[in-house]
Amino acid sequence: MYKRPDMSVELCGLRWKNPVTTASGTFSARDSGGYYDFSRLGAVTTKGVSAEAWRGNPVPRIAESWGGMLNAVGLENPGVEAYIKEEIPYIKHYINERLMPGGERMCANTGGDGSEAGTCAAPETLIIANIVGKHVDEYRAVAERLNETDADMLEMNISCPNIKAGGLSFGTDARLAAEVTAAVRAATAKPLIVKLTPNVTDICEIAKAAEDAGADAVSLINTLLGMRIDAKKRMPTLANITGGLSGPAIKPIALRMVYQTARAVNIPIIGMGGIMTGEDAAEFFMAGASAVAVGTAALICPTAPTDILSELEEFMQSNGFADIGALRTALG
Amino acid sequence: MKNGIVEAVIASNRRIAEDVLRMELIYKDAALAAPGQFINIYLREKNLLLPRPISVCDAADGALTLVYGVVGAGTRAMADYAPGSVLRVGAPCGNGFNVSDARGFGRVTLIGGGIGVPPLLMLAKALKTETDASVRAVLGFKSETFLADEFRTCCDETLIATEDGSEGFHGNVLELLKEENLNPGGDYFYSCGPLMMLRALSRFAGGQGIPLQVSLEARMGCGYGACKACICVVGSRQSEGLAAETATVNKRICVDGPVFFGNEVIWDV
Ligand SMILES: Cc1cc2nc3c(=O)[nH]c(=O)nc-3n(C[C@H](O)[C@H](O)[C@H](O)COP(=O)(O)OP(=O)(O)OC[C@H]3O[C@@H](n4cnc5c(N)ncnc54)[C@H](O)[C@@H]3O)c2cc1C
Ligand SMILES: Cc1cc2nc3c(=O)[nH]c(=O)nc-3n(C[C@H](O)[C@H](O)[C@H](O)COP(=O)(O)O)c2cc1C
Ligand code: FES
Repeated sequence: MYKRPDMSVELCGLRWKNPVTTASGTFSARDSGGYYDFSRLGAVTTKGVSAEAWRGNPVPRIAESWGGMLNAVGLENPGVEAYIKEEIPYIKHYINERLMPGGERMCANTGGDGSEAGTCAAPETLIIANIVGKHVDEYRAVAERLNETDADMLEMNISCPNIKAGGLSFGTDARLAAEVTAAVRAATAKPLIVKLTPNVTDICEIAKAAEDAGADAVSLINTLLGMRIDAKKRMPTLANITGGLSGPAIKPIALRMVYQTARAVNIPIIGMGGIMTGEDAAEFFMAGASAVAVGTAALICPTAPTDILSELEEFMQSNGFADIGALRTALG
Repeated sequence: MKNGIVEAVIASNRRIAEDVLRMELIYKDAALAAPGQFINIYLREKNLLLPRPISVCDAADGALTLVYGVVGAGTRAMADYAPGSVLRVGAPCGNGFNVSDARGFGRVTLIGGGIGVPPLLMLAKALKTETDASVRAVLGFKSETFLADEFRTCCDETLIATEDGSEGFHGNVLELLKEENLNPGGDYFYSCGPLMMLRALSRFAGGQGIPLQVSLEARMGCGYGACKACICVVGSRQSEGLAAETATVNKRICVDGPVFFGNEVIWDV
């Protein structure tokens, strides 16, 4: 039997007690927090937030497809002010309650510092605020507004395929990606993650542009643009016609892109796309990721993020990986 | 954690009408379910990823009744699940019907359409025990009826409408309601059924000043509040001074609903 693996990672100057976070748009602190203790995760990544509230797309916003799902939620969010007033304090409170000395669940299964469960020396769960905008100024305004908050890192979604006015164009053009990254870089001192879209010919080109413009990390992949047609009703299944494909069906593409990007940039990568099990997560680390995010799996099974964390730890333990670094160099 | 997925055992799963099945689950927390709530069914088929929401039709100590229509791959798969086998289900979800709001009314009319009929059964039983109102069920079907006898057992009056006239009133529930001798004027309404029916009913009830609660549905992703797939638009028609954008808000049917007041739903979006 091997020693308990060290699950902690260092990312953009911050210590994560383990390398698992939620994928933006698939986590709601109030609702997900009723199913599993999210203070066990290294970080939580929240839904994309814009300067003002966005109403999102009409329904149906969801369609199932073989091994995956399409969504066209359209980045509905209450705006950054409501996010700061309601979401961040709620998450903070939830985490603090569970980290209090003597607290029941504290640090259970976090590993990391080698201490026994229950003796809490591991860092707190970090908050990653995912931001969106329709133009450069909106991204900058949201980033600035988050400066004086408890958000630990910013993740810029330059890749959402749903909003016609913004999203897609930034993430599919290296020059625009660099421009918006530089603008947000100048507006925030917090570690900046740029989230990349897979809907491009060469993801490395966009990743390099983000790195050169000051990104501290990149996360990938966002959803792949797709559609479904209800043949009996003779109409597109989604009201928005097209939507973003996620879930197990996209894992091979996500892995390939993480692998390529890891060889093109020197900044850390948060890998995601179809992670359903701990072993799936291990594959992303082997491809070069430093952390992973769980999205669609959490819609299919609400406790997936912590289940996958436990499975990853088990996988590492039974296969002799002492830490995440060992996974990352496993391919040689 | 307060919510979780549990393994329920299928006690029975049998056909009660064409493409309609009744499933009895042995489910330890059944007594916690309230009328109008639903449960997420996690299918066994690995290719059918998303949970299927099905309303609680009835609940007793340790047993839950679901009645579902076979409309696609997921419900077709469910129809083949054998008694004795295990089914993964979520805890009862959502804000169900507000029963106490009908207190003080002499009569409550429940209006169900097709596969929207089942959740009204548990509601009828709750209304009988928790209010003094007489309970009338007005149930509409395409042709073959189901659950009608259960309603007859617990309601003071049960009226059937079929689109093909094979049983009861020939026509839809709204046409039946408008029949003079039904006098729904001073009633309290609860309804579940197709969107078109709910919209028309809401207009009818609004015109007569009849309070109405409706159970809505939308394609769901997670079924527990995390993905914002399942929204409806609610607002107040009174707030005319406000811009349309601020006078209405999106609500998630899975956690804020599925039951809403008819006059707060914005039907034509
Ligand atoms: C709160 C709630 C309670 C429900 N209660 C019941 C119930 O008690 N009994 C019952 O039979 N059904 C109920 N439904 C509907 C049921 O969830 C769907 O019929 C089921 O998920 C379809 O799965 P499927 O794989 O068979 O169909 P699919 O192959 O996924 O779809 C077949 C067809 O049904 C439509 N459809 C699928 N899901 C929905 C939905 N959620 N709302 C509207 N149309 C949909 C699709 O657009 C498509 O045309 C409820 C839905 C909600 C949201
Ligand atoms: C319902 C839904 C909503 C999403 N919303 C966002 C969002 O607001 N911002 C964002 O950057 N990505 C969003 N995503 C993309 C996910 O964060 C993730 O990149 C993608 O789904 C791939 O991972 P998965 O296969 O594990 O879901 C969303 C995905 C889904 C399924
Ligand atoms: S289905 Fe995900 S929020 Fe309602």
